[in-house]
Amino acid sequence: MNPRLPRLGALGLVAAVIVLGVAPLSATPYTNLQIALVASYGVAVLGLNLVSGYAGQISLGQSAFFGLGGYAGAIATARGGWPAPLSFLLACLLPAVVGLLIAIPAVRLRGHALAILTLALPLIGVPLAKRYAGLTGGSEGLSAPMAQPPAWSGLDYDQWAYYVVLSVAAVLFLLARNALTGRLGRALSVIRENEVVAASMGISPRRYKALAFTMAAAYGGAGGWLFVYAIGFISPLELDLLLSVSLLSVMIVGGMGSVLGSILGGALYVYIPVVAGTVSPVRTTLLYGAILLLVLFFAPGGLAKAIHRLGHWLGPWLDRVWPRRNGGPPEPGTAATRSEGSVSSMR
Amino acid sequence: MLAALAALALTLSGCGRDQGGEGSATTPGISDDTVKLGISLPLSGPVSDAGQAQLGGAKAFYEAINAAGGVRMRDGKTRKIQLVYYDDGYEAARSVQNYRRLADQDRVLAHVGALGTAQNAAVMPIATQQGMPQIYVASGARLFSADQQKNRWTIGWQPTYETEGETLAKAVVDLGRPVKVAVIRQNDDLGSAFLNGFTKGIQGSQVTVVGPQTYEPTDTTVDSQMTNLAASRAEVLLSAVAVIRLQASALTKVRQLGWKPIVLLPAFTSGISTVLKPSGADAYFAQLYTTGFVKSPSDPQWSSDPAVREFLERMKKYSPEADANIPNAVWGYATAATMVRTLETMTDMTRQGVMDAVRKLQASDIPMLLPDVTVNGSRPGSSPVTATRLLRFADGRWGLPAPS
Repeated sequence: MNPRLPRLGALGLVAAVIVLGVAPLSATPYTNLQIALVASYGVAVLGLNLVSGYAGQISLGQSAFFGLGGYAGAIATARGGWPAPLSFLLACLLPAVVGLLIAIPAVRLRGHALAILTLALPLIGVPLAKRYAGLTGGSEGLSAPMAQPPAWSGLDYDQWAYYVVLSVAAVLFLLARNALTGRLGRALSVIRENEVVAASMGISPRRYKALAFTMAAAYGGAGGWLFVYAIGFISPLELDLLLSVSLLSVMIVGGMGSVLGSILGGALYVYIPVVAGTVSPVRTTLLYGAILLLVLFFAPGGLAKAIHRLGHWLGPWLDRVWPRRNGGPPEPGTAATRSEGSVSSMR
Repeated sequence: MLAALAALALTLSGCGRDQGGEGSATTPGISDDTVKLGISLPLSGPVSDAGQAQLGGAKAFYEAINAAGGVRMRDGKTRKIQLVYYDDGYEAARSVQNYRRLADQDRVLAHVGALGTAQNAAVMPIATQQGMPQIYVASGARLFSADQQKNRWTIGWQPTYETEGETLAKAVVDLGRPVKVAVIRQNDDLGSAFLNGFTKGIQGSQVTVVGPQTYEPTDTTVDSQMTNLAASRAEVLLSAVAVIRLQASALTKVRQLGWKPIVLLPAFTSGISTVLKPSGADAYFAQLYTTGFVKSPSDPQWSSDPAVREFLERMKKYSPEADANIPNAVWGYATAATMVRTLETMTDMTRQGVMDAVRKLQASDIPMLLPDVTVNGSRPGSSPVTATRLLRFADGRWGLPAPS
């Protein structure tokens, strides 16, 4: 691979960080809210990716963990007055515990049986949320304004919420990426391919799957907490089965087994209804499905894979347009070396 | 490249945020010749028929006003109404996004006549924060009008579900003897409010409630709940089903089971052509009651009423794709009429001016409201429309019951 690509990638990342850091100061609350939502759904999709993308276990329960984390945050902070970091911990730990409990039977199952077991979670979750209305606000939902911009920042509610959500999401993404490029990621990919082979290599499929499940639940809960932080509201609809299915779909379209794919999945979930709405406000659901199908048609491995393939194509093109001189890449922007480079790169 | 990045960062940080309409020349949503209004509605999803009907009704009224020249406002200018609408698929997160979009990007004057209780409950604190009116919410939930101090940018429109339940209770209490009432209700606050109102109405009487059975709005059938209720052989059925297709299916099932109770229906699922005829309820049940505060366009008693004729003509002309027989179409139309009246009485051409006008509004001639049902925005803690009447089905139409 062209060694300049990682450099360009890093530069692009720095540019993105700068833009994301400065944008909310001049953008409307609407845009800030949308980007914060992309981050929170992205975290939930990343969790789902851990168990479904990397480990290959289909889970339809992610919305239940999302809702559990969201409600934990809303009730703890808005009702109980807990400080935000504490309620965040609760929002990650509570679903993690539930995820671990579910994982015990779940790791013994495969494929459809596992999907049905995880299906039970949102199906139980929604009526539970409605029933304990005293705690959860029932079907009318719970209003939970959690973001309190401190006076020294001079920021508005939506800007503060944006910064908090994006920072937390960034940390979570980095943690996941580190875990996945290391031993955990390798173990999970072996398990996904063939569990018997994994076992023979000394990797315990059950333990790693349980770990993936627990992490996925924790990430789902974190996503839910971030969601409530951004929107300031939660209702039983947020735990709905439809959300689980949607998260699964955008995960596949965004890119299975990919951190970038998770972010893209979050963006798809937030922006496709908006795009569909501009075409025809009455047919948004239909258009949503159509757009997902179209993307899959043109990028069967998901968008993230398509972007990686683009990178492979970009490398040789870059060399043609901006030739390297012998022995290494030139410093960007030094025109003086270009003529030398073009002579030496001619074969 | 680094230089380019630095330049980009500087430019971006240079523009501070435009803090809204107060400082700029034009106030949001009102220009010299246009008034911009916005709504977020469930145009797709489980209640899309109601959402599309609500939109159709509102569009029909606004377009008709525009065709006649526009709204004549107190500053002497006549303005056309521009309606901006987005779909929220009945999801609270999208309602909040749409509201923000209408407030920040489209900069509408007010968010008028939206549908969905949880969805608008999510928007309510944002409305208070952003200071854009969220008015005439098409929901019977009390919370929109209850605390006008805390939620001073929000107000509901129609009678609450509690009031409906209480009104229906009258029909049973008037029987003057011990009666069992079988109840099915939606498993959420809409359903509880209904039942609470009904329970309040039967307090101190000899009426008892059996059940209640519950259902979810996304259910495909309520057959098993109706079968359970039929087994009680109660004399009265309170079928507080809020989804049109489920109500039709519920009444069909009761008929098939051979159970013939007195039936009490909520207003929004009592349509003759949408519920009673398809289920055969109009011919089968001896006594059917509902409540009403608007005229039902498919009811023959209003066939020569000029307001109803005008409504049907306008629906056909401006919103042919919407179903005029769904009650939400009438609500959308009447809410739009209330809004236009509010615009006409505004003295201050700002968002705050809208709220002041809302709180002063008193009108007894809003089209499609039943006779003697008026709009009064000045009662604290109460929605603008509160009166609702008990109606009885007879001779193929809903009418006021004969005095006993």
